[in-house]
Amino acid sequence: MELLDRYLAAVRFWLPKGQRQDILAELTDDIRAEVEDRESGLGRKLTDAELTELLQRRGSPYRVACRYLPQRTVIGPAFFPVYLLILKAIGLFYLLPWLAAWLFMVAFLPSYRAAHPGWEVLLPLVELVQRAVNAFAFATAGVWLAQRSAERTGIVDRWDRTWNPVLPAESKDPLRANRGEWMGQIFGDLVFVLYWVSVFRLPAIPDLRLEFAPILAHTFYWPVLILALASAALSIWNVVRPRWTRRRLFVWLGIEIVEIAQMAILLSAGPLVLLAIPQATPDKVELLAGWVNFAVRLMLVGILVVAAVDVFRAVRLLFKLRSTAAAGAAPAAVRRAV
Amino acid sequence: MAPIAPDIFENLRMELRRGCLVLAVLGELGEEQYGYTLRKALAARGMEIDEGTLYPLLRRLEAQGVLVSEWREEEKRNKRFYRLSKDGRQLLEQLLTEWKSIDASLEGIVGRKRHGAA
Repeated sequence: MELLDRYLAAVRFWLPKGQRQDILAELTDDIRAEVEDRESGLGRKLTDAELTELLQRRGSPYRVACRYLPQRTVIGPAFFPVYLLILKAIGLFYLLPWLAAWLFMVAFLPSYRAAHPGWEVLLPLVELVQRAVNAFAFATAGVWLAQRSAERTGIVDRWDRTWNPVLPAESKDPLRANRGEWMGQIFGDLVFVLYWVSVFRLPAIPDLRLEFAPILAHTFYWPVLILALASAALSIWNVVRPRWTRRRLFVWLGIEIVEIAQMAILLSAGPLVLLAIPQATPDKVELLAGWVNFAVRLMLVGILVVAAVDVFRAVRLLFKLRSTAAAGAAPAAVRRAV
Repeated sequence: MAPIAPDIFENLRMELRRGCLVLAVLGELGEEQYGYTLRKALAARGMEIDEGTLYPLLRRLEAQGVLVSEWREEEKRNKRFYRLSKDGRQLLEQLLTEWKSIDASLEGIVGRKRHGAA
């Protein structure tokens, strides 16, 4: 019965200390009774293979022990979606930008690579892992505390007729553009256009000259301006007639694709901003110019990511529009527009 | 319409039986028994229960005061014998009443539809 003893020893390892002996004694008796039953039926001792099969049918020692243990979770099912949302936000808004910034510096800043020769360039990844562990630990502790205090104070158990959340809106039409979003877009586009045509200017800093490199100031002046005006026109169109049409979705798709192409070209070009500080030494000017260009490129990466997301949204809406039209569910106005 | 997957039926069947297990265990423990014989007795009456479910259930019911247990030597082995406590007997009566009421309700709901369809 060495096999059985080993199995029981393995179960013992996982059992809670206070009940270990009691559970094991009962489990041992149950298994031995089953073994004896089988042996008396066969008229012989069980072989090792048969005993192994019998124990395997009962489950691994870990699984067997788990059935005796109380169910414990750090975050309960009600708070879990919030917890998951926080973890996603940490990943998306903290860890991912951090990683993107590091990748950008490695790819585009020779000075950064020079300062971190060889394997040293990978060292920040260790820091990233540490940051991720810390962030997840804080998030877990925070949600656990919130859950515990909500349960202890009884907030989650309170409800009366005066506590009425807003009724959920009627099922939202996915093909209707969000007016608020597009009004914001109009504002952003107009501010940018006014800046681009020099109606708005940034306040001057004494003894510092900051200007766009020729690729931005000349080569891309009109393409950028035309694209911003097209985007503003589309936004106005969406605010006035918020229901998407196939033609308008293709216009949006076109604008975003051109924007991605512009950003890609600009990102692969040399310095985008030129800096001149007469009183500073050339190496200091170069260092500062490097950081300013880094910030500008980071902004362009952000614009590129947003444009890529918009392409995805536009394509998804096109599919949705097609399936709606195919199902004949689109209102007459939409069918006319399509 | 796609046919219902067998595992969905199996899950629902297990869920349905799980609810009845406590009643079956309490019903069998009107007379003192130890775990293995209890398991065999339940299986013989068509209520198979695996040991991984039975023993934790017995411990929980004992902790709740529904069962009492006693370690005793029988056939040269120490065995833990379980039986209903006084409160457990009362609880069994209440649960049986509830069970009959559920049975009558279900007969009224499902039985009527079946007869109506026929």
